[in-house]
Parts: sequence; structure tokens; C-alpha cells
Amino acid sequence: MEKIKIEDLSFRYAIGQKEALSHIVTEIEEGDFILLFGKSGSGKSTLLKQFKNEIRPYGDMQGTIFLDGKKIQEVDTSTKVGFVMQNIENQLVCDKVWHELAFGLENMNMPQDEMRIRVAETCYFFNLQDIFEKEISKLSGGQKEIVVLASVMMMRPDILILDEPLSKLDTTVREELLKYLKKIHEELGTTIIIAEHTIKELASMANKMIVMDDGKIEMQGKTEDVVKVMMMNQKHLTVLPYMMKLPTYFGEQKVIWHMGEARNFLKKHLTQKKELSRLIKECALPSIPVKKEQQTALSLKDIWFRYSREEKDVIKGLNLTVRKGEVYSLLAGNGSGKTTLLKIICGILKPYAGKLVTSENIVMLPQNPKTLFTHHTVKEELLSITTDERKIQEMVELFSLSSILASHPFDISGGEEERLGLAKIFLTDASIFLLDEPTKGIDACMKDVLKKVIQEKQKENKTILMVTHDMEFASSCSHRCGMLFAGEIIAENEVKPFFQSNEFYTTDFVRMTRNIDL
Amino acid sequence: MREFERFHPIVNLVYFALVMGMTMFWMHPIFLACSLLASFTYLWVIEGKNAGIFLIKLLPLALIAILINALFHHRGSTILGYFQNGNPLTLESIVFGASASMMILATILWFRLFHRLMTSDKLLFLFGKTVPKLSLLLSMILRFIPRMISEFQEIHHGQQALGIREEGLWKRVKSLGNALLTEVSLAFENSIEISMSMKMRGYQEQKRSYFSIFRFHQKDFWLLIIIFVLFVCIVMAVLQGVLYYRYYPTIQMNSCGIVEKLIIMCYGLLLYLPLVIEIRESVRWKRLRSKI
Repeated sequence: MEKIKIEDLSFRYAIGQKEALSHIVTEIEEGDFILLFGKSGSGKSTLLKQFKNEIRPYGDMQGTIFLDGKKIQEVDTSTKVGFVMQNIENQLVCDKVWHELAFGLENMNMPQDEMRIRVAETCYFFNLQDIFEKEISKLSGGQKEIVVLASVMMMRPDILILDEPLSKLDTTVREELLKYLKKIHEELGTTIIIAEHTIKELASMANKMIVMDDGKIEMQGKTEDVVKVMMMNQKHLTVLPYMMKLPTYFGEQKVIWHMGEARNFLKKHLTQKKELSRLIKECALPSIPVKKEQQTALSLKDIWFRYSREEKDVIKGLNLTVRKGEVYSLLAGNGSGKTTLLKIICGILKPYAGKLVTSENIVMLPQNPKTLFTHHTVKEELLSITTDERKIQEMVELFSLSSILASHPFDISGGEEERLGLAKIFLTDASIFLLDEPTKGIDACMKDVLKKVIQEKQKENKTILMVTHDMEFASSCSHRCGMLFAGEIIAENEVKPFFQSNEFYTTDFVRMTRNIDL
Repeated sequence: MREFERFHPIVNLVYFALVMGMTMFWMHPIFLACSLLASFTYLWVIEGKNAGIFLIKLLPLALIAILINALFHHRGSTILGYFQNGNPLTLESIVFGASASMMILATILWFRLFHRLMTSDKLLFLFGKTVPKLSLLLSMILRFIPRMISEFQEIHHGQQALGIREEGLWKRVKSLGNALLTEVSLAFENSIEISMSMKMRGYQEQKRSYFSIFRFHQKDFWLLIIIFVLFVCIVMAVLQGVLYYRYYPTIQMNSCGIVEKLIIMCYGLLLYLPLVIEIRESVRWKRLRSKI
């Protein structure tokens, strides 16, 4: 018997006019790993919340969900269904890791000895021994994510649901989380449903995929079959990673999961010159000429910074020059001092040694765009920057904010926060824009919009400095790239030579075509 | 004190309660001197130089205590001189003032040690046994406050990131106020989601159990016994009038016989119990290492 069965489910929010979900029909088997895929605002979160009685939003629900053959309203979903929300900070209730882990068990009124065994087991499973007695506030983002996952798994749920867990994380933390999801799926046999708007890492893990759009299920089935259909459809093609798109250039329907397969495929098709040239034209690294003659917009000379006297240096003798009208991307990992560096350039933090020269006004998109919002509605947020209605309208359309103009900025989703943050930043008439991971949480089509906006700003001779993990994005719109490592810029070059010389920190296309003579 | 810290919170609590109680209620000068010395030694072990600085900062307080006592208390029979208004200055009032200030210093130092050693974990555990709801609430507050502070800072940074420069006091105050307001509404917003997260993991108005990371071991039991035996010995002796003392009208203490010496040793042992444990453990480890 199927684990979950949804029969013609429709849902309308109490305050909404439109149906947020309409006529959902699906079946989920025990042990399935399901990727629920769709743009932001396609109804993924609404659907997921229907599986938890405790958090099901108010509204008009039609149709039924069966869990193990019983109506979901009659099942105790607090222990049967584990749910990981998008904002992990708000999911952590207690001050210490051990207390957080035991929280759910305490609620079940479990005796001490039984709790001890469960906690110990789970700690081993998730490798939490070292941080067991630590305070939550002292943990890194990645550790917090694992603690949240562990404290949900502590209750031994049959079904684990994750609502866009990856989009706000950086690469290393993502890999860590994916590792544990895989472990949970393979070793415990837990049914996993994960909503996400990128499919790069997840497609190879999930055995089934459900694609949602506008509250409806657009496609569902085995991952491979769904990907094949997506490859034929121009609308979906853009969201696929380069590697998966490769066969479409040669008119073939083949799903490629690994880099090795992609390289083999490419080698076999080297004779098809016409298709090959189209591939190169669309995917190869663009070489945007560097404006050497321009004057400098900002320059950092031998900058040193640490947070307090006792601590280690975060920025160590950093040198950086960015010219006017240039787009510069800094590629950086966790703990490399990227956020600190941007705060220094923005004038929020003061370096203890070195010289920082910036002549013009600077604005910054912080890592958490929520910190930019101080007004009651999205519209007011935009009005606080400029009163020029025409300009606002333009931004609203570009970042598709029109549906949330009247909402409170704290009520919008993660992706919408990022978009509003970007809109606010780009409305200012600053001449230098600092962007801290601008592509996190936004989907593929929004990335294209961002790219366009950046190019426009650059044409107006404005300077853009961004920090990102997103190689594809950085390579597609920057003049120069640098790599930040342990508080220093250790490599810096124009886009093409930069990415061609890197092995790990590079785009899929470069990896795919390395040593292949096109 | 590091080894002592590892004992069960109940042992820690009992020890502190007894030692602080005795410090506060027995004004015997030798007891007080021992207590002050012991508390300072532990603080020195934990904080190093800072303990000394802390004590020096407290000295004015001690001097004021002596001064006030000498100025306003005129009991005692050994007159050293007279004030302008004719009131006598007595040796006894100065000595009593000195003892009282020793008591104050020792108590403050013990409280500081208590604060250092009884981490939130331990206090929550002690509460949790009796009032589980309260301990959960405390734990949530301890998570909430540091988070609020860091979020407030981030919001303030966010405003600066938008290019709002704060020149002049008024603008600065205004922007900080703005950030604070935003933080408060954000905190409300967060707490809704937190309550959702609690609900999702089965939190309801119901009986809940309490998980603790502490276990009562055999060594805790024995230490508790030792503490009690020492305490009972001292109390019995004091009630028997073994260590009789008085400050007024003349300073008088019993002569130090065998029994008195024994009781003072008992008290010293009780005070230095954590140090004894520490030394025992380090000797044990040294021996282990030499065997390996």
C-alpha cells in the first residue's frame, strides 16, 4: 500500500482569492525520495504544510490526504512526519544542543533512560558528539542545519519533509546536508520529500520528481522520465544544469548524471561541427573586455582586520583594486572573511591597518537581505529609497514583486526577500554596489534578470563587486574574478583565463571540455 | 575547581549553600579568614590575575565597612580615643568592622564562584526537576537574547549598508531607534515561527519529561557524605560552645585546645575540599601516565 495518497486536493487560503493548490493527485510509496520542483510561489510550501496537522494554514481544504490508509487529520503527525522549515534559526528552540535534541522527546514525556539511548544513537548517526554540550548561538550555519535535522529525526518520523533547505546554504554546507539526507534515505528507509527550485544536486538522488507550477502538478514520475520531458520543453530547459542540457544540442534524449558521462558523450559527438559551434556559442566563457583605461573606483591597500585584540586576523594584508564600470566577482568559501571584507569596504567595520580609498557612495546587499527592511509594506520599502514612481515600477516588474507589494516584508518567502533586497539596492543612485551572494535563494529565470540589471548598471559606468559561490553566474557577467582564501586574495584574473586555469572552482562547461579539442 | 565542577549539580549546590551559609552566619574571625582565603584561591585558579584585580576593586568597600562601624558603633571597652562629639572610638568596633568586611568580601567571592561554576545547564537541571516548564522557558530565553542582540546589530549594519550615514548625534539616535523598532517586530515574527516549530515537534499543554546530561554517580554520593559529615561535626561543636567567640564588650575567644584545632581543621578541609579533589585527580593522572 502506498505511504501517502492524495486524492484531488485543492486548497484556498482564508484571505486568498485564487486557489493555492488545485486538484493535486499523487501517490508516494514507502522509501521514496521525492523532489518537489517548481519556481518560487508555485505552491510547493503550501502543499508541504498540508502534511502536518499542527501547521496546516487556515483556509478551505478540499479532497483528502491518506497517510498509511488513514485520513491525515486522524494521524498524530507530530511524531510521524518530520518537518524542516526554510528558516533554521527559527526552528531552534533551546539554548544548548543537547536540550534542542531532546526537546521533542521531552514533549512525548519519554522516561529519562529511553531518552538517553535515543539521544546517544542520533548523535552518533549525525556525528554530533563534539558539539553536544555547546551553545546553539556558538555554532556555524552548517552545524545548526544538522542539529535541526537531527532533532527532527530524533522523533523517528516515517516521513521527512524539507522546505527549500538548500537555497540559502553555501556549497560546503549543502554537501554536508545532502550527505546526511542520503544516509537517512539509504540506511533508515525514511520517505523523504524535498521542495527545491534547483535540481542540480538533487536530481541524481531523488527517484521521483513532481514538478509544480501555479498550484498544479505539471508533471510527475520517475526522475529520469521527468528530466527527459523537461529537456524537450524550452520553458524547462533553462533550469537544467549545463551537463544535463548537453544532449539537447545534439538532438538526443539521454539523461546524463555524471561528469564522466558528459565528457564521453561530448567526445563521441565531436564530428558534428554545426551543433558543436552552437554549444560553444551559448555556453563557453564570454570574454568581456576589461576597461583598462578607466580610473579606479575603489582600492584597498594592505588591509588588516580582526574583531578583537585576542582573536585571529580575519583579513590579512588584502590588496584589491576595482575600476569604474567594472564587474568584479570574488569567489569565496565559508570562513574566508568575505562578509567581513564587504563590511569593511562599505565602511561598517574599520580595519586596524591599511588604506581604503573609495571616492563615491556605496551600497551593499547583505548576506541576509531581511536586515534591510524597516518598513511596513514592500511598497513602502521601495518608496523609502526613491519617490520616482516610474523607476519603482520598473524594478517591480524586473524582479516580479507586483504580487507582494502590499505584504509586510517579514511575510514574504526567502526568494522574494532576496529579490526585494536587490530591488532596494538597485533603486539607489549609488555608484558602487556590493553584493553578498546575490544569487542565493533565487531561481534560474531570476538569475537572468539579475544578470541583465548588472549589465545595465555597468553600462551606466557603475561599479559592481560581488561575492559568490555561483561559478556559472560569476563567469557569465563579470569582467574579472578573484579568489578569496583565508583573508587574502590569492588569485585574480580576467574571467576566461581565471576559470580555465581552475580545476574545482570553475564552471561545468570548463570541466566538461577540459583537454577536449573542440 | 575543575574536577569539582564535574560532580553532579546537586553536590555543587549543596557545597556552595553550606559554605556560603557558614560564611554568612559565623562571625568567628578564624573561620572568616579561612573562608576568604579559600574563595580567593579558587577564584585565582579560575581567573588568574583578574581575581587579584577584582579583590583590589572590592577593597574600598571593605574599608568603608570598617569606617562606618567605627564611626557609628561605640560599644566595647578598649577606648582608643574620642570623636569631637564625645563618642568613643573603640578597638572592638574596629575589629568587628574588619571581620564584617571579611565576611562581605568572602561572600561576594563565593557568589562569583557560584556564578562561574553553576552554568545555565546545571541551574536548569536543578529547576527542571521541580518546575520543568520554568526550565524550558529559561532555556528559550537564553537562546532568544543573544540572538536578538546579534540581529539588532545586523539590522543596524543593514541600514549603514543602504548608505545611510550617521552624522550627528540626533541622526545616530534616530537610526538606532529605528533599528531597535525593527528588531522588536522581527522578534515577534520569529517567535510565531518558533512556536510553530515547537508545535511541530509535539509541544502541547501536557506533562513533559526532562532530559538531563547529568548522572548521579557513586563518587557524587561519597562526596556528599563527606561534606555532610564535616558539616555536622562543625555544627555540633559550635552548638556545644567549642568555638566560643565574642566581640563586645571585650574581644574574647576560647583558647585553642585540641578540639578547637580539630574543628578548625574540619572547616578548613571542607573549604579546601575542591582543591583536595583536584590534587588527588592530578596525582592519579600523573601515576597513570608513568605506568603507561
